[in-house]
Amino acid sequence: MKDVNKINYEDLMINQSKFDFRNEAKYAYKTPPGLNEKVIREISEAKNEPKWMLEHRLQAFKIFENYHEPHFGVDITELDLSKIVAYMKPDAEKSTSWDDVPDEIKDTFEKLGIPEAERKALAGVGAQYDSEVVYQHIQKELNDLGVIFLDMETAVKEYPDLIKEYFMKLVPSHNHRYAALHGALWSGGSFLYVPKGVKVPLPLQAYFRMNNPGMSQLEHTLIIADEESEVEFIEGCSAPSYSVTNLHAGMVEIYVKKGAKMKYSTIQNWSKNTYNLNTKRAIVDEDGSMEWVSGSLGSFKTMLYPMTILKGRGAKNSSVALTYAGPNQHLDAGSKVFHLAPYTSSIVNARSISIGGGWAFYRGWIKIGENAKGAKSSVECNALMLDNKSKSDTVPLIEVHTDDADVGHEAKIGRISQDQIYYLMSRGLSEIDAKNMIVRGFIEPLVKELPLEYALELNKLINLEVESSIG
Amino acid sequence: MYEKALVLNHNDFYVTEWIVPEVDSEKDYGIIEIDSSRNFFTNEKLHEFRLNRFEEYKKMGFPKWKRAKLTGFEPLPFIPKFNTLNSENLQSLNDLDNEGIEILNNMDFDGSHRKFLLMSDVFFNSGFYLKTKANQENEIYITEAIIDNKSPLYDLGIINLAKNSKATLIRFVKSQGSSSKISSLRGKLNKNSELTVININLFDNDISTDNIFFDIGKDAKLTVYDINIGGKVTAPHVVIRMAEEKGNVNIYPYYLTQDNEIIDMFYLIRYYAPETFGHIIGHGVLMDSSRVVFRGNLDIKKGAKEANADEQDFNLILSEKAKVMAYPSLYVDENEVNAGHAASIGSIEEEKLYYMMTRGYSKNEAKKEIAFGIFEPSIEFVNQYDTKLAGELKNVIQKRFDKEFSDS
Repeated sequence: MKDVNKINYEDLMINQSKFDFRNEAKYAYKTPPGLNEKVIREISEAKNEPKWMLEHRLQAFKIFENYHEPHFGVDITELDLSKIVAYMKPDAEKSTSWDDVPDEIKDTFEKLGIPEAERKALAGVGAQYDSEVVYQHIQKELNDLGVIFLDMETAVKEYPDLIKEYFMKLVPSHNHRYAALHGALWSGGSFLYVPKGVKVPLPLQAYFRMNNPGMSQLEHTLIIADEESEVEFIEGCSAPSYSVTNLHAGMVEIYVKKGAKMKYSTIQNWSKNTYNLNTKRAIVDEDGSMEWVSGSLGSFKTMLYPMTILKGRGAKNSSVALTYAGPNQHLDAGSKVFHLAPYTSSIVNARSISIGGGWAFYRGWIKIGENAKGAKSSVECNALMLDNKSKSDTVPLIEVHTDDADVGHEAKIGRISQDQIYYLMSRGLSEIDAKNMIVRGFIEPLVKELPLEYALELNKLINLEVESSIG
Repeated sequence: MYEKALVLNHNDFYVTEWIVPEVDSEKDYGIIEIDSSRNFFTNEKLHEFRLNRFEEYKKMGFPKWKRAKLTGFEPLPFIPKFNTLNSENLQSLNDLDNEGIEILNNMDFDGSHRKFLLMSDVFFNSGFYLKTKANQENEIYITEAIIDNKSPLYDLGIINLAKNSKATLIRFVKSQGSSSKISSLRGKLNKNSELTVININLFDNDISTDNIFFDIGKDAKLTVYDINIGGKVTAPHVVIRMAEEKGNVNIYPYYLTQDNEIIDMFYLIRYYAPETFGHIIGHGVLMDSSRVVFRGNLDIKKGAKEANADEQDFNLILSEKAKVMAYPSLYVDENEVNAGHAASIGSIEEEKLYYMMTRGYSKNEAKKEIAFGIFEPSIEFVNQYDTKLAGELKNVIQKRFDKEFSDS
């Protein structure tokens, strides 16, 4: 009798080849590999930045130079920053019309389905190729409502007061070494401002692509959802595989004002040579609501802990995350929520799949501060280990500083058991369908939070074609 | 065999580990203290062990623990002495046979900090050797000690359970001031043996750490009640190695803190063999500005098929200034397992309180009953073996709650 419990893990792996094409785009400007003050001045000059931003960069670089590596997380001793190209500017001016984007770059994004997504009526799209945003479009109606959706460089020039007030105030350079690096080298990314009371009817979208070997991408996304506004933002990331290491050290800062609702969804599929050392943080005022939806599928090593600071009374957070660690991947990720005000609440639903020797490491932190009377938090971690070569760890920290809070944490590690398969087969399902159903069921909490086309994409990415493993 | 506290690697990948800073102490013990107690140790192999461990000891400082607010350690003046803690049926360490020496030499681990582990290994002023005979019926062994600012306890224990034998060990320590208890305990449970260990630590203004390591044989069973009441800094560290099939381990930590006391616990069960069973179920109550750190670790290694691993930790906070940090960690290399953990931190449920108040309790009485109820299973468990010690435990807990919930 064949062993139905035995799964050929190779058939369950993500098909990376879709993202593994390279385009020969021309570059207007590229810094030499390595980091020094000169490179930073060159970047600032190439961007024609105001002086205050150059000063910000130089100050951040000083902090970076003296900062120690993180005392936790993935081993990054092999990440050689002297070989990383800090800045690469494609030979294209920013455009608001897809037709004006150079063919090579357009081809890349066509393959990734960016304009297609827009055709499906997403409200706005920003696409970043290596270090710069090449395409940014926002529907006219939103413009009329006062929604600002720009690439960060333009925003720095056009809205200096707003940027000065919010840029790297939530994650300052002295927060950690890679925040300092980001402060020195950031390039590209999006700025989104949603005015008071404006409810953006459709999701806004950004797409990031690293196309070159040894490339670093340090885009900065800054979002301000003003009082009583509502908005959803989606970002996707990918890069082709090269033997040289890439670095992604992006940053997302989100300000959710009183009564506003923000949903931030990410599908990260960086190539398997990327160090993904990303920082994402949101701060939520009274009765505001923050929702993180994250699918981390790519990269070589990841350290990513989207954080929400619940600052105002009654503020809420929801984090739904899926981490998929395949062969030669070490993904150290988790959700952080700080409750700093009364009656704040948070839900974390973290799931991981490890397969083919991959290592999924959940590292979460729930903190209930002394002023967070009546706070509630519930954390659930579930791990699915699809074979016996992989590793799945769960290391949460639950920290409570008050006598009036209700905090619970639960974790379970599981596999696809023979019993489950037999049960489903006894109900008339084929063996393949049974396995598919179990894995789909496992990722369902994430999938149902995504817009349809992303959900379909995710289902495709997590390739459930297990047929050949059984034959 | 060296059982590291954390093993954080997989294939070619590593997790960056925090290196605990160390602080040198001017009052640290050295060769003079070893020589001053030389005459107590007639067992040459034991003395040799001390000297070997000292070589490592002298090279390190005491830890600086951020969460436990410990910045180094200043030992009390060393008093040369050696006893076996008032116990009638335990052997002296001088009676250690080759098997005992082997346990001592082979079963090595980190401890809450290596310096503390080595300190009790080298400078012990009390200790015992618990060795059972094959097929021995359950026998109860008790060690009792009172510590104060003139007599710290450095304790070294060895347990060697023969196959099919049973034993129960109660280690009782009561403090009368500012002192310290630094202990190491190593135990080997041979095939089908059964051991129950009850640690009762009634601390005051002490800095203490119990470093415990058990190796569980095939079909062997271990039950640990680890009861820690108070202490300036109390840091129990318990490591269980399950390298043979069908080992069965249950650990029940109980902890109570008041004023500015800190308890920082570390429990680890490492599953190597198939069908091993290991659960950790912790309960604690915090008052005033006290702090608790609960680190429960379940580490399932490849090959531990059908291991059953579970951890639960329940915390009741009775003061808005108290702090709990719970790390219920789960490390899994083997997918054919049943593994989970849960932790909860909360206050007394209003419904429970009102129910009791409708039954005639004042609010404070009701709170006291609920909080005390958390410790009742541990007191009852001790009571099965020794009513006097159970009574002392009960009195200390009650006294603490009386102070907290006095209606005046």
